[in-house]
Amino acid sequence: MMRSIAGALSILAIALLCAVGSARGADEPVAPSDDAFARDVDLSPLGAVAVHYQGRLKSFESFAFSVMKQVTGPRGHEGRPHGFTYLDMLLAPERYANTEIVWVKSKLIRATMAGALEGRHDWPRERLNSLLRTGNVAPPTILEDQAVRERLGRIARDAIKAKHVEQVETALHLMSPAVLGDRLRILPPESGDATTPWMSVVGLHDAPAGPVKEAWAALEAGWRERDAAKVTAAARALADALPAAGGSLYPPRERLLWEARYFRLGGMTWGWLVYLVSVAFLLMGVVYRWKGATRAGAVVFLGAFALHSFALGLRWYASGRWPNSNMFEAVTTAAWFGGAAAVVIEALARRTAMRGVFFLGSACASMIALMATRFLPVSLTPDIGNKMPVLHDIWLYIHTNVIIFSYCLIAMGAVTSLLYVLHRLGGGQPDFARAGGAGSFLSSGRAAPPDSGALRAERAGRVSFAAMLDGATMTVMELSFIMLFAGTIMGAVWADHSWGRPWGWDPKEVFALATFLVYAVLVHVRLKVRDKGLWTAVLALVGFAVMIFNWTVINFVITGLHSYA
Amino acid sequence: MSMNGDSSGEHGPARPNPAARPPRGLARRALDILSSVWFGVTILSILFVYMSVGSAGYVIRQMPVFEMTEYEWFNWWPFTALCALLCLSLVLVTLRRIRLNWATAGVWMVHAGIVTLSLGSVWYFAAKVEGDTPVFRRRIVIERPGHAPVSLIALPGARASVGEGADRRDFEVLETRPDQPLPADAGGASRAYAVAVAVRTPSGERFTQTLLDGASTREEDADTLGARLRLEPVEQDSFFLVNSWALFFREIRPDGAHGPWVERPIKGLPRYNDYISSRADLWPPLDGAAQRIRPIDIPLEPAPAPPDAALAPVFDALDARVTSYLRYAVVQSRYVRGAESDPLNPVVVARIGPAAAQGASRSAGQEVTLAAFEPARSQSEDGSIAFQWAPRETDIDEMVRPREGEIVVTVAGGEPTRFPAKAPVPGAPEPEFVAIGASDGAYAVRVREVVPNLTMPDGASLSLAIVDVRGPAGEFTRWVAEDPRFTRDFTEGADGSHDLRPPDQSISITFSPPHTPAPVTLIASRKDDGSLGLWAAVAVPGVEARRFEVKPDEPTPLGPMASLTVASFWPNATVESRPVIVPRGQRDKDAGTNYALIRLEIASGGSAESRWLPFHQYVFDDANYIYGGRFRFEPATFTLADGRVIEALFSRERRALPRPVRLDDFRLVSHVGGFTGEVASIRDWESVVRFRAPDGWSDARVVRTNGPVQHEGFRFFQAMWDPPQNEIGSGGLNFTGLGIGNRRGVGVQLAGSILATVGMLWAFYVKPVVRRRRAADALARAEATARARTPERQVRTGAHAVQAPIVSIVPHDAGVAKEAGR
Repeated sequence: MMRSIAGALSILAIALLCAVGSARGADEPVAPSDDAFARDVDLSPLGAVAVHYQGRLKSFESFAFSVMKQVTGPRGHEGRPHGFTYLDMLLAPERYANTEIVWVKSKLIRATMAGALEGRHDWPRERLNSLLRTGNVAPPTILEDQAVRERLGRIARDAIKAKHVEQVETALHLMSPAVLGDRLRILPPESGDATTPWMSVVGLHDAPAGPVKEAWAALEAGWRERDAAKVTAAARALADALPAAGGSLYPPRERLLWEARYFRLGGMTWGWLVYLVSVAFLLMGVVYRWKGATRAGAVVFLGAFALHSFALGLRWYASGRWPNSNMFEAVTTAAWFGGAAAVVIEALARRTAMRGVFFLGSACASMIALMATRFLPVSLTPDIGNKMPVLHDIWLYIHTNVIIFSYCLIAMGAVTSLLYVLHRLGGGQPDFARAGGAGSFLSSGRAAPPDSGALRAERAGRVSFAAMLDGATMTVMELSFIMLFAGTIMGAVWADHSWGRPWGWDPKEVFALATFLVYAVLVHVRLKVRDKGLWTAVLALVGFAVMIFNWTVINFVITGLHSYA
Repeated sequence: MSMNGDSSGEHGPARPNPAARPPRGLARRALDILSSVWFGVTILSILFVYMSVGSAGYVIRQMPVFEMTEYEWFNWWPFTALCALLCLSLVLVTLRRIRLNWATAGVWMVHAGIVTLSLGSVWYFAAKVEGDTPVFRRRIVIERPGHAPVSLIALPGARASVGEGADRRDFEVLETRPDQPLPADAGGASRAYAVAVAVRTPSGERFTQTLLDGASTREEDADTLGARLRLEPVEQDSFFLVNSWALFFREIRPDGAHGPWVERPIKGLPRYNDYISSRADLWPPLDGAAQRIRPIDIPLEPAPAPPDAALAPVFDALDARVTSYLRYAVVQSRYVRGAESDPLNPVVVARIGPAAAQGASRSAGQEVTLAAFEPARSQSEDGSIAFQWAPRETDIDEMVRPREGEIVVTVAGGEPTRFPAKAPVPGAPEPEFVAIGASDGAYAVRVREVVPNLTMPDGASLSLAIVDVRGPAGEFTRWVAEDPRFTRDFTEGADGSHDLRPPDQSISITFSPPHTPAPVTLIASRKDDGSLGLWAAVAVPGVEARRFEVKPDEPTPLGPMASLTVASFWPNATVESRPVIVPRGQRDKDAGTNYALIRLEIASGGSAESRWLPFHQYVFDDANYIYGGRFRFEPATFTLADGRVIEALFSRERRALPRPVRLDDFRLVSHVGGFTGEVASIRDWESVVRFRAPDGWSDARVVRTNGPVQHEGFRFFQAMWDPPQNEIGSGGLNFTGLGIGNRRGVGVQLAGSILATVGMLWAFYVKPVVRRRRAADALARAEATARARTPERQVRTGAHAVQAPIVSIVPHDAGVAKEAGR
């Protein structure tokens, strides 16, 4: 039964991979056929242009993402780079006057608008469905349609729902060329004062003549003429002129270029596909004890982990800080911690029956984490911003990393627990690891007595599948148990000197403690019950559910002091 | 607590056969239950449920039967009892069932750590004091010869007057700037905190004085102003407790002076639900929900520590109680039908909705309330419906007739010159100046612009004509209002700025704005027989203009699509203020208790007086602290039977700081590019504070976001800041918000946590090593013994048995494993 499930899951994973691969092809940026300019223009030189935005110096593409995600949504417009849409909206606004480009985030607003437009001859059912599905509308639909305006006005009077209307109004406001021009602050102050805002391209019109002004003027002219070659040349000239004008205030060119690449690569969250391949192999390897599949899975996993590490490092380099300051970073970094832990534990477990299981747990956790960042870009935005003032503290790195490390270990334990439960549901025999998690390793490798029973048993293939899974669960559970407790205490230490009290019964604090209580129950129930493996697996899954609840519902639904984490 | 799946490895002697066990007493049974693992698991499970309910299931905690904050829920006796039982169980199970040795040291440490942590938490929460307070930066000290010095808080909008009659001076804070650049020759700092103060004399003279922190008014300025001004730090000597309620009373003395606030705590006041004793005390809920009657009657606690000891008995004897509580409500003033003896004040409640022919119900449509005598409320729906009063019915036609506007200019009693009040056509050349008749060319004017129906801040409508005047003293611009009180003269700068100038009395300009009646105008008037009537004049495009008398509740068609219904007509309306409960869906969930209201009843001399009191985060001395709406100051006034007048204010409990604190400087540390108005550009805030010391003030201490300051048992941490509000002239940073709390027991909590963590590490990672070594020793001993005493076969059996417990995933003999495990 278990093997059937594993086989089915592996096939499903491969099928999913193929399906996503083909779908991915359909999602590739495609410029409209009637706009050769969009296809031919090369804005990559602007990657080296720094823009002063909200207290950061961002590469142009990163900046454009930050602004345009509020207009077109995080997925952009017609698959074009956000930078192109930004400049096109700034320099050729007439092209967007009647384009369905304004992204309505709220489903309530989409439904309200669709309700107001229903029955119109120019709004057939397909168009209404498109509005409900994509949320994209043209500005006149919002600004000029009386029925829509009236209904939105009614929502705007509601204190709670007004924020949904504000999002649409913000998008319309940002579409204004005057606003876009004012936000595009590319010229550092001549004074060299780091506390003076940079000059926007609007201000350039009144600035004395110089290479920056000339380059920007050429870019403007080329854009209006839709002359791709001229724009590309102007972008290069601008990228060359600005660092010279900025002096010591200008950030390193390499940093800007890598930040731009990071965004062009979509934060490399597509790495979940590689993890998916490793999951397929590792599942077969673990369930069928097929060494070839395990080895292949391990190799693919290591590749995926290398990509993941590269993405993490790139973000670290681009942002200038260890990435754990918002939900996107917390999720991707937690997954990376899990991968790093899996590599270390697998090295220790290479002579036990548990080999490959930790890679599998980590691969599943990382795959889901990267999928979440890929497919939920609104909640988990990859935007690089400044840390909130309260996060400027060494305890951010200590407390947060320890906690998210424990979260990923909990997720890995949930994978092995789920396999255990499926195994038992499929009629597998009850069994469990006698010596717990860390104790298991003492029976293997150099730690074990030369003629230990474990080695003999394993070599003889006498280690049951259930005991192996239970041992793996206990291994990560023990580690996560300590890290969760220690991390929570470290959070209390931080809260003590930041908020003036170590513990305030904030929902996040309470549910961190509640998660720990579930594992404390697990540890003690395991002492007393006969079917230790099953109870361990079930309680590990409960603990995982509580942890996920704490990370999602508490963060996004219930207000508290930890909404940024 | 065991850390692996071997349940038998670390507990005490094996349980004897129950059949052979002697009968146990009650105490022994209780001990057995308390020291059983299942008991501990049960307690942990209940704690999990309790915590989940208290946090995520906050709706339950907030139900009327509980009415608890997180803090109260987690300090309630059931939680305390559960924690006590857990600790007791941990102690008993550890002492009775876990033998202390190297292998079990981890479990001992974990259990001891948890118990220590719990004890520390009991101490911590029992002694916990937590609150916050704003610490204002500066106050302005106004010194005038012959008058006592007067203090004025340095917040835009703050006002004070000194002197009487012609000697009177009015002072108003116009603007504050936290980092005013200083001239290069100022020496020292390049920037300083600056406050601009306007000084007015009874004759209308107006001066503006900019005060720099650390500098005093210059002599020549002091002579001009008739006063010497200086900035002085503000001492804050108290803070306000979180999650607390209190009422504050003070007496208004016959001379108008105020006594100090005296605190009366309120214990047991609910927090999350509405409690009222009568529906008549509030307006019907906006969502039409039925309001449940749930009366409360909460007397006040005695005054804890009055600032003026002589006042304590006075306010302790006050018979005051809270009779209603609203969690989230706003006070609204509405018109109600008055008695015929009340003054004339015509008000209509009208509804414009779909035409009756479209099948709409009578209640469909938008309801508006219009008051004829209140300009701000005499029209609605962007001017599409208006309500007016006509002294006589015959005046109605004249009132709704469209007319052209006119501007009349007169110089020094000469003949008036009339201009049509029409806005120039956009794009047309600027009009020429026209010489005014009798002035012999000394004055010439041109009408630059006509601005009809400009909406004023109070909602009233005002029409303006902008007229350029060229006179003997040069050229200026006069904004001529239809109401002459609002007419002003300006000198226009090259950059488009307008500077107010003294009015030129030699030239008079009046403005009658063009009148275009609203599409629907309701007019109340007195009929010939003296009774009151209501008429409507409709001038809707596409429909013939007409006038007709309106009957209440009868829909009148306004065209094919709309109809008008007058629901109520109150000729002698009066105004009443009551709270209205805001529907849950419209509440700001971050508002906390800012919209809470209580109804306070004070009994005196056999009668009782009730008032609604809104919640105040802080208690201030006067309305100068409102600061553009950032803070609230709305005390209610009560007159007692003995003639005394007192003020009451609803806020939080107040505690004295160990030492007064003052704010020397408040800095914003920004990211690259400086503060751009976005929170993301802020790196940190720095409050430079000093504490009162016996010999003056302490050295400056800096409170940062992650850098609290410890002083005399309390921690002061950065909790709030004052962002710029340019619309009221504030550059921000006029006050800092400090959180204040003690932290007794934190050391014990930390020690327990560290002990537990070390214990976990020991139990998971050291214990297996200890056990493995013991197993190896046991194996060696068994082999040696076997070799010496038994045949070969027995030795091999023993070796297998002893090895088993250290094998993680192979079956083994539990009995021998236990032996090896110890």
